[in-house]
Amino acid sequence: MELAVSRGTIRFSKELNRLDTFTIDFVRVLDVQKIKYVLVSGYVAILFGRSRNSEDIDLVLENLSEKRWKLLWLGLTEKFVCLNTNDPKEAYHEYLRSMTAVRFSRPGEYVPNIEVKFVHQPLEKTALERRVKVVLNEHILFVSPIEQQIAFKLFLGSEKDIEDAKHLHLVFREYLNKELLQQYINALHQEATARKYLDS
Amino acid sequence: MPSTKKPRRGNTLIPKIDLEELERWKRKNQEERFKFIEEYAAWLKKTPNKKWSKTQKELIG
Repeated sequence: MELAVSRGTIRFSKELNRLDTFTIDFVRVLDVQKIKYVLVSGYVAILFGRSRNSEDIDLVLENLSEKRWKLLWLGLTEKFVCLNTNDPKEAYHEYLRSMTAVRFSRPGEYVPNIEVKFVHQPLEKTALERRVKVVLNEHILFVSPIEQQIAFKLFLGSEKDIEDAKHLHLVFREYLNKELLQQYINALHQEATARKYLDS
Repeated sequence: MPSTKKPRRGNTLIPKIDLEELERWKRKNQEERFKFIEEYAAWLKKTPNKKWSKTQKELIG
């Protein structure tokens, strides 16, 4: 794997899979409307080579006014459908403002889908503020800091999550900010888990 | 397909399970999974992007 990692940016190229093209198409709409987002969770591991599939992609959005949301809805629904509701007002008030995610897929498909929510939890805010730019072929994506992703996956704790954490730790071993990783691990009380699964 | 056989009173179709043995199997299985993750990451790091992403695309679609 050839990666070029510099401060805040990871550059690499790959043959795009279905999840990559789906994500790229979705975030293009956000970029056009200058909306800040960050990709989190399993797709980050898959983006960087993890050998597994996923039904969904998790994306955290900056908080938007209802007016901006409705504009975004118009842009998104040119290529995607919301699986929860056909009504942007309901999506805004009953879901996003109530800290519940809405899902979008391509019309007529259910998977893959992208789970969109407004930033709320402190860790989501940190992920959005310290998001990492990924230049994938000619496309730009923003992902959660890898150190945060590893610690959070340990916290989630399922076998799949721990495997994702191990994968990212191994792939980015020489690029990680070890102090920052330890800070996230301590904050999430995952010291024992990290020793068990990352130090092997 | 679910079994259509009704278990008789005081009888069961489920075999006696050795939970300790099953736990040992689960741990071994997990260790093997983690070993695979390590070996796969090692392969990934020395493999050109074009090659590993082609196999990933075959898996994901």
